[in-house]
Amino acid sequence: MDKIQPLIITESDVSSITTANYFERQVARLLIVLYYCGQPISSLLEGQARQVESLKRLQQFDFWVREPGHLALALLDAYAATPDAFADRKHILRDTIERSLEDNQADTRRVMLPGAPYHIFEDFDHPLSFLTSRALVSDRPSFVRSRSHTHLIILEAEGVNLVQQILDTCPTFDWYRLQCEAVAAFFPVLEQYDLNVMTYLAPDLTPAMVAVSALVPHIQRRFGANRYADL
Amino acid sequence: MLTFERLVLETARRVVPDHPDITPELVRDVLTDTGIDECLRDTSPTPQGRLIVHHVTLIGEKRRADGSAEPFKYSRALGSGLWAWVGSNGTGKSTILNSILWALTGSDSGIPKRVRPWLRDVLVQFSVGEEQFTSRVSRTNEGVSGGVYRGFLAFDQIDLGRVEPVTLFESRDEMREAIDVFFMQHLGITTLRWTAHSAEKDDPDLHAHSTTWRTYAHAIHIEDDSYDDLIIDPTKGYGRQDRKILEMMLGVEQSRAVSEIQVQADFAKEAYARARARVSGRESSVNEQIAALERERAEVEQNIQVMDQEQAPVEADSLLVAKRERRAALLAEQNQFAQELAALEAQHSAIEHEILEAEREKIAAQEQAEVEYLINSLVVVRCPHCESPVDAQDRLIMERQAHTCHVCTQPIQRTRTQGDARVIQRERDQEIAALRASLRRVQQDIADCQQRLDISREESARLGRELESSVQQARDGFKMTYANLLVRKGQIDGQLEQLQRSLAEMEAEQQEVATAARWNVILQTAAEIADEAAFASNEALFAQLGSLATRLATQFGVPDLEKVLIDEKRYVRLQQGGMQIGHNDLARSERVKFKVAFHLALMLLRVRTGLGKHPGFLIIDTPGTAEVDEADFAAMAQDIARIHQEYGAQVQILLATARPEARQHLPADRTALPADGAFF
Repeated sequence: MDKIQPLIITESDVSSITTANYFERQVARLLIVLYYCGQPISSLLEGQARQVESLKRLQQFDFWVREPGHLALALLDAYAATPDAFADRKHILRDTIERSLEDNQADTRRVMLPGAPYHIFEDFDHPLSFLTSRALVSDRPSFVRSRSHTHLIILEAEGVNLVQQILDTCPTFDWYRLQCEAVAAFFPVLEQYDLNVMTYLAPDLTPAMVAVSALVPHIQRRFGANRYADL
Repeated sequence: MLTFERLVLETARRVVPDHPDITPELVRDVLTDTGIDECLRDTSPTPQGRLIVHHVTLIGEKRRADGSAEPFKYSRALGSGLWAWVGSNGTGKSTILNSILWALTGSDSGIPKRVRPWLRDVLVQFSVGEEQFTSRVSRTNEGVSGGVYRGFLAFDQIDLGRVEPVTLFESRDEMREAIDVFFMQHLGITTLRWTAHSAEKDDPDLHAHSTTWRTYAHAIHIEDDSYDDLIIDPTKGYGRQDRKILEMMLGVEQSRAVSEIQVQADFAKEAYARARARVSGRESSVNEQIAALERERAEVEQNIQVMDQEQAPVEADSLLVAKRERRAALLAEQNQFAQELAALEAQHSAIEHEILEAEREKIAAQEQAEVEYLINSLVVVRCPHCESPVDAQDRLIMERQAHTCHVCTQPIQRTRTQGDARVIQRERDQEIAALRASLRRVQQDIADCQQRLDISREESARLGRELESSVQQARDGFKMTYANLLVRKGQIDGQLEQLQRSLAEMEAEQQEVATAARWNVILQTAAEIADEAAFASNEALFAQLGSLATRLATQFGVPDLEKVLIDEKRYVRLQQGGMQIGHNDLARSERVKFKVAFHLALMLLRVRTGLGKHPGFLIIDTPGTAEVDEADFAAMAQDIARIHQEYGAQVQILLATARPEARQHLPADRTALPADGAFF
């Protein structure tokens, strides 16, 4: 792609979102999530790219990144059920929980979606269109013959470069890198949870309660329990 | 021009449809009660003319590290037009300029701390319009003293005392106040108020602050380390002081009224938030308790009635009755404490929630500031749907012409800048500090209330035990159940009475909240209208400033600058290479050039149009020693020299630079060079 001098700062079709919700930070987070959620693919002509197999997977991955408190509670729940499954990744688990408790980041780093606080998934229509129009992402249904439609999202080589640039120049976004690495490490476990029910919140919490209340005290209490003594 | 009647009518027109409880008469009453009618009638004093420095003298001793001291005296005659000091770093140029500023503003913050003890006396002769004055500042071990005197005077004349002082001062604080008052009267400047939360941990209140001559003086001084901000560093002041400086220098009509309405709106918002936090959660809890107690009382009365038919009522026993009454009073008191605790805990959790929201907003603003420019610079190269390529240049040309997106025809939006995000972060910091102070106070109240509740519970439990044993001893054959029922009935009556009283109090509080809400809506709307009106009536003036700044900045070498705009929030926006950016988004070398151009434009606008209150005096200290390349510096120096030729009789510019090539472009008879490696 030829380099062209930057031309226009904002697109009118996303302007209503930009003013109220900092559209650009949402786009930057999505880029990082795409990078870590995607599988590497590469071609000789275009260099390294990443491919996400479905929009649903991307939405789930993003949920765990946006909701560090949920991530900590789900990981504690999964560990309590099958500690052996975490034998070789205990340090990642401990770091993730501790990071979420440090400076109350499980609550302060929570990224609320526009609209009602009960939204679980972001639809990504605006940010994906934005990135597609800039040739950083290719977003299209696959034409594989299958009973269920799939939706391929490809972070192009230019997009991969931009992710690197964001991580190199924007120190605040290092948080998302660490969260994405943790989610990627445990995604097979996290995928098992039905986010409409959120069983990991039981017995003292419900999805409606945690939508607006602070999670740090609950994480601290659970993390302090005996069954996590060897973490 | 905005009149009080127009403000009332327009506010009522906007507010009444959504708030049927607000009448135009109420709008008028609120705006009158807050003194806005007076503000709109108020006029600021007329400036008495421009400021010219005619002579500066510094006397002192250079103190060396080995303890020796070398006396010095520096003196230079000045006047209208351009006056320059050219010398390398450490020759004393900035100290001379900052000493002049010290005598004219009362602020010595620009003089390095190491050099301050060297200066014993500073004498600046100046004029405002036709009147001549001398400002003298002396520094001794005891502190600062001096005054402003009528006429051009020498040290001896002042020391002999045969002079007419306009104002005298004996300390640094007195000096600041005296100088502020003097210049505000003579330059026709008024104060503009703004609000902020205190930085003190235990002070959650909102306070009003005022701008003074020292604030406005940022528009007459371009420092060597202040190029990151166009007028004033946002971390040095609150409340968008740059906007207030700009408006005052341009003489924007009714700035004072607009800022006063905003102050009243801020106070109304604060009062509403506090009233709401106090009442929230209490009323429903009291109603539930009343309903539960009434149900229980009905059951107790029914049981007593059944038992009355079987046995005699309790005989009077003064001791027993007194204990029962005391216990009932204690239980009523406990009920009140429980309500207070519930209300305090509701307030506590509301504050915690607000802190969390503010912290999230702060992080979001930080993230936004870091990536906004990067993401906004991404160029549209293809259709997001079919991925067909889009010709970026064509699109740009179309959008530049029409200011609308050529795909959806909606207006192209302006972007925020890093500066805006920094302001948001600072505001969130202040908000968090204030909320934390409130949280600590509420936590203390909860602890106090809990302690009183515990004491009361202990006493009532003791009385309960005593009553139980007394009844058993004193009432032979009297059934304990009956006694308990009577005690409980007394308790319930006491509690209900207390609760009804609380409910009545709360209704009055609800009225207060509703009144505060109405005031808030009216004043916020009036503030918006006043601000819009001030912008609309001065739009042409802002456009003139923008076009003059564009021309000068382009001459100084700011590349691809198409337009300088002052938007409706008085943010200065630059259109550069098709993008709209803020001053601090410019490259560092461009920032220097643009800042000098903007300040010159601000000053020249007064000369050309006669509008505004700029004193026609500007100090430019070592512009771009490291940042500006030789060609651009030469262009800047030539243009400043050209301004001297064209407008020298109407303005005064004092310029210091470390770049020797400046001598080729500046008038030789007005350029001072250091003798023996230093000016003094």
